[in-house]
Amino acid sequence: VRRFKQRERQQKPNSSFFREERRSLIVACMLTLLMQSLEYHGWLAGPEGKVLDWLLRSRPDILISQARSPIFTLEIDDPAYAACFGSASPLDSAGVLTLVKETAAMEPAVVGVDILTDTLTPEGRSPYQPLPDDSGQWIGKVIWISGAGYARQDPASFPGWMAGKHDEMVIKPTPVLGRDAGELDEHPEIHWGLPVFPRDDDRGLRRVPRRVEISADPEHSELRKPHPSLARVVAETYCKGRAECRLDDGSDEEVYVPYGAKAPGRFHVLDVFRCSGKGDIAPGGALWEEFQNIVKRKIVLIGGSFGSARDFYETPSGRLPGLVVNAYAVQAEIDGAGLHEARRPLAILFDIVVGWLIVWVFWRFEHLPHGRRWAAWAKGNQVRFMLGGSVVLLIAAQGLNLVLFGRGYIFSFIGVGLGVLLHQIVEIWYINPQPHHKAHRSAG
Amino acid sequence: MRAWILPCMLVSAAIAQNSSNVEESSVRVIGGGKGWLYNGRELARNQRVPVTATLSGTGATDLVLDCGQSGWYAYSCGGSTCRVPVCSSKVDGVVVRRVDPYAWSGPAHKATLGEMLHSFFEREPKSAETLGVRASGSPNDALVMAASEGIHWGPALNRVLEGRYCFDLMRLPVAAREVTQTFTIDWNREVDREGVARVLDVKPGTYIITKGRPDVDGPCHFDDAESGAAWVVVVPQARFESLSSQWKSYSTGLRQLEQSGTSPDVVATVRHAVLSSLADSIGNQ
Repeated sequence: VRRFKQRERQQKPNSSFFREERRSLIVACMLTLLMQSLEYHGWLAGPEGKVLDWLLRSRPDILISQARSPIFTLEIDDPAYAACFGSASPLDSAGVLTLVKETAAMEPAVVGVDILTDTLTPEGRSPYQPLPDDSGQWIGKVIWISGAGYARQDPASFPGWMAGKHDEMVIKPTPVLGRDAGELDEHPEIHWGLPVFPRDDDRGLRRVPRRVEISADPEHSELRKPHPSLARVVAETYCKGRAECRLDDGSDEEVYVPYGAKAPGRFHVLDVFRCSGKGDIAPGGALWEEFQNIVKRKIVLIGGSFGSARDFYETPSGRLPGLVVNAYAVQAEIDGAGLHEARRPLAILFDIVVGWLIVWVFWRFEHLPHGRRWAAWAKGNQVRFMLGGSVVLLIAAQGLNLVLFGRGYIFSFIGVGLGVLLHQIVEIWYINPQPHHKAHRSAG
Repeated sequence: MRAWILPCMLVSAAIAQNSSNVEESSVRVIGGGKGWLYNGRELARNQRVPVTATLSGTGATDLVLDCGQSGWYAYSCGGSTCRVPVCSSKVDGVVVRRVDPYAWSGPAHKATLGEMLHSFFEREPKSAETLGVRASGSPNDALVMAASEGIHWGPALNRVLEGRYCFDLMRLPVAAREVTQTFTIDWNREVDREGVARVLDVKPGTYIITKGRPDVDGPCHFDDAESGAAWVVVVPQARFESLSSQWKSYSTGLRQLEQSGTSPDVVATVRHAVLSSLADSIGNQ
């Protein structure tokens, strides 16, 4: 039957690809659906994460200019945690305020404080209330953080996800300087952002949401409003009136953060300040002068990298303190270099096109012209050519993926590869080639 | 050989049947025996009473019984005297509550075909992290000393802000019917740096400690999303100094491991293994 079909095809060189290969085209769509399902459930997260890590670590050069980063981190490491804060958490509020105030006095453009200030004293009030009398002079350039006191996550359903929906996250923000989110509306001088990063299926931190939905009661209230991330607030504040910024409109909900190029400058608190006891912090460290000069009109992020804070995360650049991850996120915003996940319907279309092209390659090798010497030779190696053709197609697809990555869009690498492999198996199943020795025997 | 197999199986089955009968013929007193009488004698913790017994309560405390497959029942006479048939699920004038950890779970849920298909179209939520220095302060892994005046919880509260907290304490390894204990501390380093608090029935060994928030009406709330659990090893006073120095000798290596880029989970596993070995050495003495 197969030979008869082949002969029939050869007799009709203008036969329709779509009519003949209807079944294979449907199979390609089904395989696309299967691959999408595997991606949705996170089955490909491990290998896909490895590829993404490599790209985010090694290819940011195509996205970011080579100028130096304007971001500097001022880190409370283990020695500073012991010397300046008595190795006790929460960090002494007086010490934190001194650090922030003295840093703000160095005339940086922005100071981001990656320290939660939601604590209450035994008397039930915040040690940050009231703020010092002179806070009016420096608080305008300081961005504080709020954490996720409670987070509700609503994962998108599979059909919704394929249509381009994302998982929803609504959080109840923790107080900033002892003030609830509602109370903060009455204090426009206090700027704050959310350093909340969703984890990928392989537990890696690669994405940063531009906005996070906040609510007073995520569990029971439908009332919510978006609030910008820490990275976005810091970048927007820094980029006011700066031509060198390439801040985009922030319309995408979240972006992937490139690592590797433009690492932030890192200083330790004890290099810049002197500590003579818990909360007793004063300027005059060994690098005080240098730090003062270098951070003028730049961004300073203050935070902790001491071990017991447990604020370390797996990133494409290895294990980094949360403070440094935030610095990379700010850098991505300033450069407009955040990578966008391709719109899911577009990614599905891409998979289908690759699948259909494989069907076309197989179909084309079944319709080689008669009478040509190369065609006769190719016919003898038909299956090898079919496999080789689809591998070339796969390489072309991955090349296109890389080009799109360079333009800031992420498609699936592993999904396409696995899909092509499965598709080859299905097509060879249909062709059902005879083993070489059997063919010889039947010829003899 | 084959002739032995059937009798052996029958005997085994009979033994198994007998042992289960023994289990079911009496119930165990889990707690609160004070003021509860059986045959005129006050009940003690872990005492076994026949399933046919009727107990008298004076209303002083609640009584908790382990009723085997039926779960654990707590009986409260509400301040007056009462009589309770053992493991009865309803008694006039007595508040009866099922209090075992599996009470809420109900019978095992079998997924329907529809639910199984539905799982293809839904996924579990992914977690999110706040990348900032923790401020609320959770307990840390530590050795704590059990002395005559109480347990010195201070070493486990290094990162905890001064204030009034309740803690949940669960013995490790977790036994199927292990009871967790809750205690409260007014934590103030300047007043009592050792954080001494008396907790009844805490034996030397390893425990998981979780910080909670005491409410005005008494119960402890463990709803702090930032609060993590830690491991503590309760060490008798006589052994504390030597074990503490051993623990400190490991600290440098653990810190190096932490700073070498090893994942936090792995570091925690190693730290817990060290604590477990220290706890084992208490038992070996």
